[in-house]
Amino acid sequence: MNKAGIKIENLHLSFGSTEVLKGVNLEIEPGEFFAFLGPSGSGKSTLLRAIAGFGPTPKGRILISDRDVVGLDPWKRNVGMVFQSYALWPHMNVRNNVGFGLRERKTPTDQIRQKVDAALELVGLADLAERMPNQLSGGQQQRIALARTVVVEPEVLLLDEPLSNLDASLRIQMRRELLRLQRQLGLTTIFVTHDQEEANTTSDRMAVLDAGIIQQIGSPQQLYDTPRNLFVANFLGTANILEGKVEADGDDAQFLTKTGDRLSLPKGSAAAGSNIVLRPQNITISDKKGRNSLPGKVLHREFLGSQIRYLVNAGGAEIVVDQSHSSGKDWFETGSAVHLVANTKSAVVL
Amino acid sequence: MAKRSLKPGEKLLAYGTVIFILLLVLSPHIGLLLLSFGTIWSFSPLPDGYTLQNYIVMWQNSKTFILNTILYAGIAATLDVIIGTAIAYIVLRTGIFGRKGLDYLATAALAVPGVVLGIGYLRTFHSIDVPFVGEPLASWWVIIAMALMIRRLPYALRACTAALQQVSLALEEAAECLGATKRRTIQKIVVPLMTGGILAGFVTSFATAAVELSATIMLVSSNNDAPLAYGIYLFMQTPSGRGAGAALGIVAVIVVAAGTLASQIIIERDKKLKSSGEVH
Repeated sequence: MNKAGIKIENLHLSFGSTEVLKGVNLEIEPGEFFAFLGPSGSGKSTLLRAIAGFGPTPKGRILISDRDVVGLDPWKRNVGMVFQSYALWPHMNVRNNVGFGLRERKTPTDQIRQKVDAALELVGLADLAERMPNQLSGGQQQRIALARTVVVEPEVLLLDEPLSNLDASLRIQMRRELLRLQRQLGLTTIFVTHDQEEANTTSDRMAVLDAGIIQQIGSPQQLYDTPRNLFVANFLGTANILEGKVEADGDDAQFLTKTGDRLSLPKGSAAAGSNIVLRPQNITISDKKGRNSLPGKVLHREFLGSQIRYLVNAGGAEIVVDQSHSSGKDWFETGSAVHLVANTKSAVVL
Repeated sequence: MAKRSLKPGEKLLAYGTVIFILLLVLSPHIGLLLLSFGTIWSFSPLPDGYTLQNYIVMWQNSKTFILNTILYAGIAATLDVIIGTAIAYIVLRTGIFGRKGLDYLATAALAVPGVVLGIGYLRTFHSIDVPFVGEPLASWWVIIAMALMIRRLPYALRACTAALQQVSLALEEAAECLGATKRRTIQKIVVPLMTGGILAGFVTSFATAAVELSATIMLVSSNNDAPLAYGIYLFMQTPSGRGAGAALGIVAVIVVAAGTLASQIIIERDKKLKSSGEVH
C-alpha cells in the first residue's frame, strides 16, 4: 500500500483580499493519522482543500511524497477526500459510485468488480452494492463514501469533518472504525475537525489552528499537558487560567496571583510568564488552608455523576474544579468559603 | 398545513369567485372549442350544429404546418437547452470575465417583442445568401427556428440554471478527487444530474415555441415553411376556414398544456430523487 509523507512549507492562501492561511509549516509522517483541529474560520478546512487541490492556488509548497503539488489539478494528485456531506452521486448505485474512480483510471472491468467488492467488504456493506444512495442511512452513506475513496488506493486520505453529520452514538462507533480502517490500510490520513474529543481519540498527532496559523503541533497528550499558548490551553479541554507573575528566588520559583496568593512552582518550570494554567482535575477543594492553596467561594455546583463540578471564585478568576464523586462523600454548598489546593506539578506557566 | 372547513355561505362565495375567474380566463378556450366543433355559428349564442368535419379538414390541410412546427420547435428547444446549460455552467462554475453579461445578453431577448425581432432579422439577413442553397438567409426556413431559439432561450436558461444550482459542488469535487478531469466530471456527474431540469426546460421551450406567432409571422416566406401558429392565421383569413383554424388552435392548446404538465411531472420526480438523497 502507498505510504506518503506530506510536507507543507510556508503556505499562504487568500480568498480575494482575505488571507486565510498565513504561513503554514507542517510535516506529516507516512502512515500517520493526523488531525487539524480548530474553531470554524481557523483555516483548517481551507488547508485540507488546498492539499486536495480545491480553492484558490496557494503560495508556498505542498510536497506529497516529495512532489510539489501546488497548482496541480485535483485529478492529477492521487489524493482521496471524504466530504462532510459524503457527496455520493444520487444517480448511481453504490457499486457505480465506488467503481467510479477505477473506471476513470481505465482499470479492466473484471478487476473493478473485484476491487469494488473488496472495498465494500472492508466497510462491511457488501450486501448493499445494488442500492441507490437515497436508500442508505447516514452512517451507511459515510462508509460508502470511504469505500469509494480508498478503493483507488490514494497516497493520502483526507477527511473533512466526516463525523459531523452523524448522531452521537454513531459518531463514536464510526471514529473507532475509521481508526481501525486507517491502521489496516496504513494510509497517511488527515482528519479535519472542530471537536477536540474526535481529534484526541483518533489522531497520532494533531495541529491546532487558529486565525490561519498553526498554534501548536504534537500528540494529543503533549498538547493537553503542555500547551504552548493560552489558545491551545483553552481549546483543549477546560483550562483555569490565573493571571499574575513568576517570582524566582534562586532555584525556588513561585507564582504570585493578582490577589496576592502564592503558588510554589516545581523546579525547572518556566522562569517567566503572566499566566498559570490549571486543569480542573489538578485542583482539590478543601475546607482547610494548606500549602499552595487559594481561598475562594463556591459560586455554583453541578452533579455530573462520576464527578462534581464546582465553580469557585478564587485568585481573581472563576475556577472550575472537578472532584470525583463516591457515595457518602460530603458536598460543598454554594456560597461556602473553601480553599483550593493546586497541584502545581501539572501546572503550566505561560 | 391545516385545512379549515367552510360554512355553506362561505363555500358558495369561494366557489363563485373561483368559477367567475376561471370563466373569464377560459372563455376564449371555450369559444375556440365550440367553434372547432360547430357547423355554422353566427347569430345564435351557440353553434347551430356539431360536427367533426373541421378536424378532418384541418388534418388534411395542416400536416405540413404540424411537421414544420415539430421541426422548428424541436431545433429551437434542443439548441436552447444546449446553450442554456453552457451559459449556466459558465455563470455558476467559472470565474470568466463578463460571465454575468452573457447571462443578461441571453435574457435580453425577453425585452424584444417578437415582431421587432422578426423585422430585425429580415433587415439584417435580407441581402445575405445561404451558401449552397442560394436563397437569402432572411427567407430560409432555418431562420424561423433560429428566431424561436432566441425567443425561448431566457426560459431554457432559467431552467438550466436552476438545475445546476441543485448540483452541489462537493459532488463535482468528489469526482475530481477520484481522477476525473473537468470534462469527464461534467459528462458523468453534472449533466446527468441536471437531466431533469434540462428536460423540463426543453419541454417548456418546445411547447411555447410551437405556438409562437409574433416573430414567425415576419419570417415565413412561403406557406410550405409555415408552422402551426401561422397556419391558424392562414385558416382564419377565410370565413370557411374558421372552423378548421379553431381545430388547429385546439391542437395548439393541447400541445402547450401537455408540455406544461410533462415539465411539472419531470421537475417533481427529479426533486424527489435528489431530496431523499440528501443527508440529514
